[in-house]
Amino acid sequence: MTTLGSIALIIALIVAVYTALAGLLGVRGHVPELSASARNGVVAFSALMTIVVASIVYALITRDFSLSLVANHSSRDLPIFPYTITALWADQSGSLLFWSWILSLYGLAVVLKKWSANRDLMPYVIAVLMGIQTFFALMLNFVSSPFLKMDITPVDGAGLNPLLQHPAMAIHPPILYLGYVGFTIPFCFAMAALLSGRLNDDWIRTTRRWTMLPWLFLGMGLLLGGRWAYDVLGWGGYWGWDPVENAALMPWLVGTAFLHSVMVQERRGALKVWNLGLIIIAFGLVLFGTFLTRSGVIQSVHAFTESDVGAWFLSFIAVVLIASVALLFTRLDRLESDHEFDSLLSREVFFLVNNILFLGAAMAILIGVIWPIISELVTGETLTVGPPYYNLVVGSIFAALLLLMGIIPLIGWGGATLAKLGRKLVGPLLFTVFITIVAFILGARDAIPLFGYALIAFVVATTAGDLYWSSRARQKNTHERLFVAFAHLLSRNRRRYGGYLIHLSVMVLAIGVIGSRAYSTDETSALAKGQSFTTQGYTLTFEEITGNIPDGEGILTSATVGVYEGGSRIATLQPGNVYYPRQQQPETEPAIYHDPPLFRRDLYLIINGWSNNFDTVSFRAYVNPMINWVWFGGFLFLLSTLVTLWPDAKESSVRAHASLPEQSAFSYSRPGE
Amino acid sequence: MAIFVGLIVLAAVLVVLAYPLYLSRPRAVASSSGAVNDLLAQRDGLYATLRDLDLDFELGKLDGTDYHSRREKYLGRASLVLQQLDRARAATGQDGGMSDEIEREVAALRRAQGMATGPSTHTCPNCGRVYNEGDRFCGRCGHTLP
Repeated sequence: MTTLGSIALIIALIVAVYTALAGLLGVRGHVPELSASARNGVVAFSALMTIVVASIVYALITRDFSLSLVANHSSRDLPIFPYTITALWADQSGSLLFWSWILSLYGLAVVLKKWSANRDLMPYVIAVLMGIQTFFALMLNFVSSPFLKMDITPVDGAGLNPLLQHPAMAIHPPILYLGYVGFTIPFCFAMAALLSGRLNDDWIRTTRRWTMLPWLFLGMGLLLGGRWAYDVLGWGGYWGWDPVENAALMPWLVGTAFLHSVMVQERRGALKVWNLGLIIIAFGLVLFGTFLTRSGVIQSVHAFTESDVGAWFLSFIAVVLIASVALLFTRLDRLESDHEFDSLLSREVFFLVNNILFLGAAMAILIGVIWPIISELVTGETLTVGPPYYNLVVGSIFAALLLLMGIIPLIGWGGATLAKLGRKLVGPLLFTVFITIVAFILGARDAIPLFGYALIAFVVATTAGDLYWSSRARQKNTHERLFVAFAHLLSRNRRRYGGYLIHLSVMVLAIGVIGSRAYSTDETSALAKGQSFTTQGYTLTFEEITGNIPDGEGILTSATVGVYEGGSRIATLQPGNVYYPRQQQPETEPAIYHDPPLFRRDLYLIINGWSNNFDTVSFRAYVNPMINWVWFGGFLFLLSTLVTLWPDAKESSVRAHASLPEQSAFSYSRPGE
Repeated sequence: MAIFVGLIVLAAVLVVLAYPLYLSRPRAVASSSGAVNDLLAQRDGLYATLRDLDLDFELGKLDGTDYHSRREKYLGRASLVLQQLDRARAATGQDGGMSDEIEREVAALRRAQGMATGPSTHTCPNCGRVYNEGDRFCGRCGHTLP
């Protein structure tokens, strides 16, 4: 099976090169047969990569330790499902293979969905896509092969990194990859638009959903990663501004900017260069993120020379960026805005400011991420920037974004007058003051969280207000129930109202982020059996400890702790510690009590250590207020994005019955006045 | 065995790649299909703008003068785009490779021809909405039309 996989990988490289060339030559030389052959090439490539992935999975399942990938990342003790299979992306070559395979599936989906409707662009899209695939196929064949053999076949493998032995790790990487890799598709369309000279709104219209889907996956990947960190890493938090986290956040931020700015291009014919630039930057950041996580460059500027893939990736990023920016420059004369902005106080101008802020946040993070490299190059000393830098710089930008998020629903496209805006602001500002006072009374006394909650209240007031008043307006005209009016409004204009729902879900998440970051506490205490300590109103009593419990590849030590509040026992927690002898690595297993009323707070308990005969155990207890709002907000984010992604009823009806513009433009069937 | 299967895979790939080259010529890609897509994108953008404009006016974010002048402007652009779309589609229609959906759309447009002649043709004196010849009442505000 692995021989078949190796053969398929070689054929895949040849097919990738052929398809890229056939796509380009077919369209440039007006040979549609060649373009059609390129289309089939994309299908063949995805089939070949599926064979390669299947052969590696087969090797993992059958414990073929002659392969380095299998021997270094799995063992006979490792459960087949899911961890033996997930070992595929624990390996460097395996993760590159996974990248390329997912991209091949995206390519297949694009070809099947868009070939007929976008025949002018598709051969270029295929050429760019398969050019990128050629790079990955080259890497997989010659630089970092998943079929690399061990010199001597071991009897058993080295096992999987214990950190990856968590259910979230079975879904977090694929979701994140779907996000990362998916940004390649809008990039291919953008390059196709530049190469073909078809620089109007066609590529934007075609790629909106193809951008939103990876944006959703990347967002969910980030949230799942946070949840994994919270459940596994045992430091009580979920976001540490780690370079790998930042690597995924940066393209997400740029993608967010793009999803807003495309609306300006669609409506006003402006920001054409900006939008192309954003897609190039987003794809550049995706490649940079892959490079970052695979090269080890952040640990040291010299590390990438030790890695198989670092230098290659850096060269590829340079080629992609130089080529795409050069292409953009050659088309600048054809990318002038159709219309100037009418007013500074307009939605489009505020969208531009929002874009600058999103891009600014991404760049601030990028500077933080590469600071160790810059400092080592300049001073010879590796300096890193920590959470205080990110919290201050990125936090300030996010605050400004919240303010914009609150104001924008009050301003129309084209412009608004200050007087009208002022009148519209009165209600939301009063609500904001009210919520701020309530938050103060409830205990939010520090300036920064209080300011954060005030901003959230403002955004909720203007966004929910717009949803409410729009539904009321429809209700007045159609005499539907308010909820039905809202549902119809949503189904007719998913982008606007679905977007508002996404904003509201982000606000729920933001409530959790502010609460958990500003007010979390932690306390450490060493206890003998029967002893207790109290933290934030919880009394924790150490009752029992048991060692040497077999647990998968590891050995578990587990303590039992009774949790009391107001004299009553409310929970029993069993924090643990798993020692993995094969890797000689201990792992903390936190125990979490979710305090239920309105997701009030979590009690998060870990074992710090114990005396030799288990007489004394040291515990660390974190109390994280409102942290579950983060996960609930994430869930709402998923739902609201799916609602937004769903095809617009109006869109379909417009396509089916294109008639007079005014008939298609109205959301209302019979406005009353 | 694996090498034998590999050769079969290679042969299958060659067939898949070569099939379009030996097949009868695929229908020529109409040069204007890209133009139609561009116009469709413009049309959708204008529809979205008009939809938002109506809603913003309804919610009191725009005053009447601004709303009417902008609406006129965008309706004018939309009419122009529809006319261009009609012409482009007529050219592309000769290709015969259009989807049913597009054909339906062209038919709907042709039926509508003669009505969307420009923004200034017939507009309601009360709310500014464009109406069709023969309409007695405004479909938006119910005002009796001249």
